[in-house]
Amino acid sequence: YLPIKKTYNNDVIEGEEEILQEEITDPATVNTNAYSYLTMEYHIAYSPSYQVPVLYFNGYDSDGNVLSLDDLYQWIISKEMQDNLKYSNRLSAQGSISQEEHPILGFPFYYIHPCETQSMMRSISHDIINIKTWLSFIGPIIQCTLSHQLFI
Amino acid sequence: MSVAVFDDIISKKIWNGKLPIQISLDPTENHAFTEPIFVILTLFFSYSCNSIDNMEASRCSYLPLVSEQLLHIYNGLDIEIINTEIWYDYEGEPLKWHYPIGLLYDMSGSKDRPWQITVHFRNFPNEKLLKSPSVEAAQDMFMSMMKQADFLRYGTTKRVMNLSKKDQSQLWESLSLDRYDEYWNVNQYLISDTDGLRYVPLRIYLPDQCPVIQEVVSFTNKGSSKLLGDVLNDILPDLFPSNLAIPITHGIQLPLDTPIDWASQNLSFADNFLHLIICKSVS
Repeated sequence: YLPIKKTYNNDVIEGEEEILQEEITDPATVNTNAYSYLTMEYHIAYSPSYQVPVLYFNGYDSDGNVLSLDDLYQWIISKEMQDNLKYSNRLSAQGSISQEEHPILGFPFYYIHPCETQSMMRSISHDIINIKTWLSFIGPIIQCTLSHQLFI
Repeated sequence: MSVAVFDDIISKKIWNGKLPIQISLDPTENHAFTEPIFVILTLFFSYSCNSIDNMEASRCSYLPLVSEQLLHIYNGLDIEIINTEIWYDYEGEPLKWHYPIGLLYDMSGSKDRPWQITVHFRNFPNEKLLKSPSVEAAQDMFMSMMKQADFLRYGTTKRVMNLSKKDQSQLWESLSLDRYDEYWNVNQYLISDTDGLRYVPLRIYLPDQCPVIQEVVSFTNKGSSKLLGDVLNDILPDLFPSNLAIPITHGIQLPLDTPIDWASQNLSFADNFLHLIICKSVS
């Protein structure tokens, strides 16, 4: 695994809305064979409906093709999450993974459903959600791991 | 706090808003099922009044439901289409199947009647459109919007989550079957509570592929009714008030003194969101 590079962008878009957007590019090496690798792209954006951060992601193979959800399940999404998802119904998409338009870029990204984030975070802390803490819970589901350096 | 009145007449008109559409096949696509009878099909359709030449779509409905109708027509001709992602474009721009049709039409800026769009069975634009535009996927997106609207209105999704499975399905099914009363039998439980109203489920669309604007908008202004003009002034102060732009929904220009709580109750789409398009005013 290579160290994660983080860049902070304050994007000001139409309507004077400020969203803190972190782009974390983490080339994750998965040994499907000695010569291929997968690239994961993670974005943190703010859900205007649920008022919590949401982790958006896409994966690409070594030819630059976008990974399908099946590929993501096979290589990236944690096994515990997969068992969880088997039992979720249409509405209780707790932490489940779907596709939607990236709120700023507009094209399709996968994301982890944010509707349970608020209650999950409240059980940890009553203060404002700390992005690092949030990411340390959500990230590992899709191999978005943080260097412990961030917490020092 | 003002209590928004449910206006049955307006609500019904919004639900019944229809759009005539004309769907053309893509002439560059060669399909086994169009090949030998392509010519026959086009002749058939041009003579048949219930053909894809003269379909009427509900403004509140979604393209995958139109695709379902298309597949029925093809089935009636003994043509089976399987495993295809069907998509549409207007003037080369792929149409987002998870947006209500009326919204897509108003966003396109087209004044055509019927609205002329092209259907495709190949080359699904994965980089622009969400995958798998099936009826089930459209239902999932619809319910996801209902949940978001619920959360915005009341700060919790419990009203939607507490619906029975039957009621949850009924919301989508009544939309797909155009059954206004059955839809409202369930939806009244989701939006009629006037206690604890927090934020207006509202999405604003600017031209030129701007990111969708969704901001936190409270229903009232310190206890008194908030008007659409106030909301737009907060969110887009350079455009409202001015002569530059007008707000449109369901093909109608909304007066700026429309109370926002009334608009939310009566002018929302079936997903309980107000979808407002900002257009350049013609003057």
